[in-house]
Amino acid sequence: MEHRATILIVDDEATLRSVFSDMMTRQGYRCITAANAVDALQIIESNLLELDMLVTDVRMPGALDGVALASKLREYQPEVAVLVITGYPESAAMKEAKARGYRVLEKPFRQAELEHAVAKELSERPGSDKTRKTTASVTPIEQARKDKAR
Amino acid sequence: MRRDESGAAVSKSCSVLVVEDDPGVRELLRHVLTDEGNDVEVARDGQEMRAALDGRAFNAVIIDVRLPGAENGIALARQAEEQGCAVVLITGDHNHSEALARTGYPYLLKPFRVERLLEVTEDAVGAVSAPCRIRRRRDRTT
Repeated sequence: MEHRATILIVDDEATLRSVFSDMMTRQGYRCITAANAVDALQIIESNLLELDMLVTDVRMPGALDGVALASKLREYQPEVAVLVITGYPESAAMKEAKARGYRVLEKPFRQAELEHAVAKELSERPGSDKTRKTTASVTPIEQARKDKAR
Repeated sequence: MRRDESGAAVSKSCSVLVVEDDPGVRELLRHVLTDEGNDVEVARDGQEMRAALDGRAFNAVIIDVRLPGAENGIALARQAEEQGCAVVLITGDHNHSEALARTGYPYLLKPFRVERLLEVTEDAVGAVSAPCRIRRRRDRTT
């Protein structure tokens, strides 16, 4: 089954979070938003859903920045695509982001640039094969179909 | 079945009850299912589940296997099934998948894709012949 990409958007600015989410939802992606790193970390550590991409601002209130958040998510889901957004391209966090190979988008940017960066990062990530299957789980209905096919 | 002005069949959104003790997971499940257009309520435990099921009918109940207290998710699944609901179990415990398979209920191992959740729930609902279709937004592939 082909799938819509699921994107976790993290930004402490409500307006930007909403704009990014609306923009990407219009593009057909499924968006989950978090207002800060703590909320995002809760989603990540619950490890409930397979995420295709993290789009995160770098600077957020609290001890955890967007780069650390991305690293945490990669511990759980190593193939997740990452796009880091920043208004401070020369900061230490951004150097860290670049060293880790995360795609970076500098503010200000046009809508098309964000769309392009998201699409490109998703297409280049490991395991972007459309036929990629999820973790094993079998329903009795599927088992019956398999048995019938034998 | 409801039909639109042209006479085409209109699918009804699914009513889903999520039983999950972790507030973050509960709200995440509520968000993704509601975002697709489904009618979702949540319960923290067996007591809240029974109260919800007494109050109205649900097409499907999605239950975390590990719940605090005396009642685990499988015990709750049987109660939900007795009320005519389709049941889907979710768990992060990958070591007991064989035991879960023996329950006969469809189950999902965390982490799972949202599509997989929708697909398994729809299959489960279809198996109990409930007249609804789990809602999905327009597909976009990656």
